[in-house]
Amino acid sequence: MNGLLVLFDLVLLAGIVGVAWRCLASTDLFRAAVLFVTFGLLLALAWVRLEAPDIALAEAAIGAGITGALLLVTLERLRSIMAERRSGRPHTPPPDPTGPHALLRALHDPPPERRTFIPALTFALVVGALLVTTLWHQPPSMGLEPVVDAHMDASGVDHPVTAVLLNFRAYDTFLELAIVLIALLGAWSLGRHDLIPARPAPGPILPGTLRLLVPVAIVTGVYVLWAGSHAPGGAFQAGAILGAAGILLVLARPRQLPMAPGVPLRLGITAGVAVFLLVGLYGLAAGHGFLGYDRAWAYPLIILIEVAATLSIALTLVALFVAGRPAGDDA
Amino acid sequence: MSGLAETVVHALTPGLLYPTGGATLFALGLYGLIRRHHLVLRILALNIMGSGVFMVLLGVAARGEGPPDPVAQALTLTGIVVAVSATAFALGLVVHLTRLTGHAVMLPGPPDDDAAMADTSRGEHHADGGPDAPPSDEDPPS
Repeated sequence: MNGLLVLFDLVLLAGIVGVAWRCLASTDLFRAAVLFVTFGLLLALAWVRLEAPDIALAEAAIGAGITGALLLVTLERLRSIMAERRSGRPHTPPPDPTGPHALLRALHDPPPERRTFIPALTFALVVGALLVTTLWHQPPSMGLEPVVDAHMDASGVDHPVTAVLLNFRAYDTFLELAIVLIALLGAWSLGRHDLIPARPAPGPILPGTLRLLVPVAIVTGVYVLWAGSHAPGGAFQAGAILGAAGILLVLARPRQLPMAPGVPLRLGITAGVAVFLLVGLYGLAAGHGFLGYDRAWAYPLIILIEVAATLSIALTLVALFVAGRPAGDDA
Repeated sequence: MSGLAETVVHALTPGLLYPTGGATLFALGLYGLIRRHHLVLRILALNIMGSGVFMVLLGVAARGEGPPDPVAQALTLTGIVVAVSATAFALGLVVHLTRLTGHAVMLPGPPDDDAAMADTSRGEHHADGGPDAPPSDEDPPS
């Protein structure tokens, strides 16, 4: 049994490293993006093996799903820009990738020059060997698991990862939500969004499937959010699932993006940081310290923060996919 | 011989294997980051390095008896969300750079590199009158 598990670990690790290698070695960027999605799914398997189902959920939804969608839409945008520059006309649709004059060259990176091979290989080998040596000689330690376990009853929730994220180390999570917001502000500062350059007529299958899929995604997202207090799940995974549903909705109508109303959109995007900050300041005023909770109020406050964070993360992921400020508002 | 094999199998715990795999991924990403020129590939290389770091964290967290360290898991969860935000912003910057200059390639320093990069933007007519920037010219059109 033990031998089989070791075999599984070795095969999985070899697969992960192999897929990463093929991804970085490919000259076709589309291929690299698809291999990266595969890489994310294999990583999710590894996280399950390492008894981290929370991370596996997040990796499958975010690392593989959302990042893959972002990569593919970026490649499509690059193709569209190249096509425009070639033809000199705005809004030239990118050529069909299966067509004879496909513009695949634009998304092609030639293999690296030979003369960087030895230095890069030496550098990477030295860094990798140092890391492996250090990790192998690390003294064994219990980590912080006993400490977290001892204070679980004060946290207000029953799931240790959620307790760490939203109570013991709430400061990290607060700053993380702020970083997500800043990333969106950065993307918006690059200008207004243009239409997603998809080829017209995606066919009836995508909208038809969406009608079935989006309600399921919403129910799943809300369930994962609610489950986070006592089982693997929580705001990030729920936000990613809802964000993926939003991205699908955007994709179904590539030529007519929804005219997002400015103020409610901005309120939703900042809700996570704002609610977190307000709760933190309330803790400061009530004498529990910044981001400290009253023990009796810990559960409702954590749920409140998680709902706001889920909304913000979902909206931010969709907005990052659309990229650029919504059209038609000059705020 | 079977005793030796058993010892080896017992030594290869996930707490040892996965940090090693994570370090390998980190080194692999570093190698790709140095050698590839296209910015999207470089962003992928950075993401693979980040995944290697996550694997080291989770592998070390799973060492020893008992349940894994929830603090390391929470940090990794935070890291994944930060990574996707940073990736989205970086991809937005790549699209913007391409719109301004017509290429999305990290520019190597010495001029002899130019021959190796059969760049798509060179030698072509641009009706919009924008500067037909060679790959060695990073300046956006003013």
